[in-house]
Amino acid sequence: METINKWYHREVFSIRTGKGLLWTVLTIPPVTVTYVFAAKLSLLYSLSWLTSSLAILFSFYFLCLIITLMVINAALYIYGSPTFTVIPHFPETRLASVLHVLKMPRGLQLVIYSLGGTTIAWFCSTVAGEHYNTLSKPCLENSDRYCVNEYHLFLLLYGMYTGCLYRVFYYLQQDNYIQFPVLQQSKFFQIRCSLVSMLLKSGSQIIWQTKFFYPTFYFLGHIPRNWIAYNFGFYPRGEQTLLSLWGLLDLSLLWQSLMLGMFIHFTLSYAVKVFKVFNIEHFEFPLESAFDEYNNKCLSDALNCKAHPLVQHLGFLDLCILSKTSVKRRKLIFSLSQPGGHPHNWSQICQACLSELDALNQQVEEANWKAFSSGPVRIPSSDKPIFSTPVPGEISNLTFRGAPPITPISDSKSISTQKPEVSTEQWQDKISTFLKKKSIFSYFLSELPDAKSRKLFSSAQVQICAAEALSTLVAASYTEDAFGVVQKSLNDIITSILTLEENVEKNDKLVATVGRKFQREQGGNASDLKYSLQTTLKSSIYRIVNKFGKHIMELKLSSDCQRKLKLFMEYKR
Amino acid sequence: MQTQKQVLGYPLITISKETTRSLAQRENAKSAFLPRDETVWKRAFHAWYEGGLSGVFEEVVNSEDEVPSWVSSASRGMLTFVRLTSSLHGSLFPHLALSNEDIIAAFSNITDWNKSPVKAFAWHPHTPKFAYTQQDDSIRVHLIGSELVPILKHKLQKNVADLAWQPQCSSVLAVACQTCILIWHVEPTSLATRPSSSSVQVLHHQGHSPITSLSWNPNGDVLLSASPVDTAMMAWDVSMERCVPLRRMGGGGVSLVAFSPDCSKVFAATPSHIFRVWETTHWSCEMWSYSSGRCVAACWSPDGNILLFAIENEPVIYSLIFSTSQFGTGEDIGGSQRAIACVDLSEVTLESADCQTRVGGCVQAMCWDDTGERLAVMFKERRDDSGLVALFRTRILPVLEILPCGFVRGPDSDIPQHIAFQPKFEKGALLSVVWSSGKLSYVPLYYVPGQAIGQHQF
Repeated sequence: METINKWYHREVFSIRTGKGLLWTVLTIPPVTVTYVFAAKLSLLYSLSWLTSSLAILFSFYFLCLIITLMVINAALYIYGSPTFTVIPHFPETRLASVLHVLKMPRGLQLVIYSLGGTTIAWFCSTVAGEHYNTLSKPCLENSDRYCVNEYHLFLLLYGMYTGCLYRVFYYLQQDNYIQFPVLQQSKFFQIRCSLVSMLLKSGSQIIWQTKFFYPTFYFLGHIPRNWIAYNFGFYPRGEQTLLSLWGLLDLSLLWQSLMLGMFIHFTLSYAVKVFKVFNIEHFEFPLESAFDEYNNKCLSDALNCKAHPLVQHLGFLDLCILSKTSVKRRKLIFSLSQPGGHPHNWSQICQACLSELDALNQQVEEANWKAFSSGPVRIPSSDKPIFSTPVPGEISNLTFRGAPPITPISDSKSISTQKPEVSTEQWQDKISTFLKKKSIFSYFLSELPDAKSRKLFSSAQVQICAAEALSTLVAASYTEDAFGVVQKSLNDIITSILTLEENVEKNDKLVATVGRKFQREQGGNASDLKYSLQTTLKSSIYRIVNKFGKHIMELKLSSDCQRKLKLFMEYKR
Repeated sequence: MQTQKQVLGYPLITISKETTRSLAQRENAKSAFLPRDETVWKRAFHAWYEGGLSGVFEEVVNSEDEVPSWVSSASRGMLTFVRLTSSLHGSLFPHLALSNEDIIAAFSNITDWNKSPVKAFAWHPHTPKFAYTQQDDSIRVHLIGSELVPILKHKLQKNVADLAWQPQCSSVLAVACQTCILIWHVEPTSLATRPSSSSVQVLHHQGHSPITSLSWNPNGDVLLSASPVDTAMMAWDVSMERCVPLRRMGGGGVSLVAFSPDCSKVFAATPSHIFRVWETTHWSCEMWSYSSGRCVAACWSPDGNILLFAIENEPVIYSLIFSTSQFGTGEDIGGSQRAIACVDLSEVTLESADCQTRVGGCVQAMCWDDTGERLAVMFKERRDDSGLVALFRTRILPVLEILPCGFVRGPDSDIPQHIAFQPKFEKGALLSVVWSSGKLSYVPLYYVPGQAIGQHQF
């Protein structure tokens, strides 16, 4: 039978992506019209501005332009669609983040997007005016000798630069990370309310990048120009050249390149936004199915679908939404199977959530232990010293498993490796420690603060949803659970959430945290997952405690759990 | 104060307003320095820092002797243009021409925000704890049964207009300030009386200020904020510090937001003659308009089916019934076509044994307790104000019933400034009133809620 991820990819993902593609393509004409008006803008001659803009809009050339732009954007959209992810990537060092962008599938994308940018610039250069639209022009008026048109070249290179930089920042700022929306608004309003911020972002990005393009073109611009001249048989420079300070101080050129940059950047980021909005839309998985074919495509299968993280995330989003909003579907979860009278739906869902919570709990516990054993430990004066005889109260550095804590190479490898490899690793260590002492290299090689902790919580979106959904279901069961199916697992749920909450709290204290502002600069918009998890776990416990009141203490919980729960009962956490 | 007996173990609090008011904060630092001779361009540059482009034009026009004539005439033209457009804008929505303080004073639910001892007040939704803002914008947090009173101060905490405790949480307090929203984490176990500013998050969105109203989703995961000058209300995911604007044209801003207790709807009043009700499944909205004034106060019934609201300059409480409240039935809001006037609050003269008191008028604020059985109404301040808070007995099922129940009079003919019910009061309802003298009084209303009667089958 077809697995759920294959089915999802075929039936849902492709349709959603297709709808997104349609919307992206349909937006190209109005955006292009706006671009034409902006590119033709002349403040002093408003009538000629209007006539020249309208002349372009009603020309055959404009139709070709629109179709080409649609094709390019559609191609880039489809090409970029597999790069989206629901689990953010957190590099450990700055070097790793640069390498992440340049690695092969992504490196090729930079080239493709540069080409896309160049092609768009090539087609748009006609809009910019006669001055810009051909690669060659007569060196002197009415002369037979043809020179390279540097204005055209400038725009082409600028288009290439914009396309390439767009893709670099796409990865550096984790634009490929799909986040659950704060509110389940309709798609139209989601896109509408982000249009202004997208325009502003494009504007600031373009202004930022342009100031680096000018000096680069000034110093290196002769290389592509001479190359073109050599290959196409043109003369490299005409009477007046752009490659001079005076030549580059051309306001019209600046305006054209800014507008072109805005146009390319906006269309590309709009396509990304549309893709995300369509693909993170709430999908209602069936809770149970009467058809055999769909038996493995229910909500509980989606929750366990590790092969396709997007399906798993959408499953948890669905569970979260149904637990809060749908009485009808909650009733189905709390129902018993016919015949047999087993709460299959509930136990499957509960099991899936608990296994996610416990898995994270284990990881956090391990990380805590690592941090605890490698962190500076104050040895109490009464204890006997273990390794040396430190002065009482001295801070000694206990390292975990003996590996030097500063190496970026993972320390688990060094245990099992054989002798000759160890020696090469030692060399690597030596080189890296040497390089780290130089300030330039250390900037790239030193570990980013909190990198490990962020990596640990990078997929916490699932656990956030799991805790929220479980607690909401438990709270709803107080009045809605007619057969008492939830009661049996109440102990496990409370214990799981409580222990995870405690461990995350411990982790927060053990790992030296830097300010959130710094984190946001480093990790884009995905760096706050730990805080979100912390808040959600707390509010999950409060949700259960608020609903059950003092009855919750009658559960047969371990004394440790009861002690922790008591703090919540008294609102002291 | 010591001679008074503490009721219910609640702290006796008198909020002093004269001593706490710090004048230094609001005065411009400029006034402490002597003027110095600078070139007009330097002054214009400073004006640009302080007042933006219009400040530059103003500075240039003010010192036209020092600049070429064409510059001064051009600046004059620009200044006229700027003022004309802003006045046009202002005439469409008069509140946009007000200063920040005046906006907050106009839209706050405190009777006299500029002079009142408290600028905002909020009960914790689960535990007996409350916070209030004093005139100097410092916040005090009182936990019943604890001597420790944390004082919250932050440099961005200016012109506080609203406070809101996060539900399903013990320690998070959202503060609506002039330029941003501050999220304080007031650890209940901490012994510090002055929590450091490291335990505060700053939520800021360009153009979304001053903020006059905050409302948490009863699940505690979304915070809504509203500003009368921004047409969008912001939905914040506080832990991720990101926001989504909910924008609809018309109204000129949002002055008041309130989540319904069952989480299914959101009430949003605007400074003009319309208000909206949003449903929270897909966040679509319906709009109601009326002829006179703006909506000044509103409250939801505990089941989210009934909305009571009052309009400026009209001594009437209206009710709006929503047919479907429970989720699962769909995304329709289901509000009835027209609101029904259900309480007439026109001024009446009450004759008691020793004196005559006039009571009634337009509504300043009202609140409904969380069992849905008591409603308190505070009237707009007038010169001959009797300073009474009106109490009503209400019933929601089978149909809405509102019956007068009594009045609360302050000590020494004080004017009430803020009223609120303590959530989760076990023996009925407890009304807290802040009086103009700074006294905070608790009015316990003992009764057995109808729901409890149903449950225990008395």
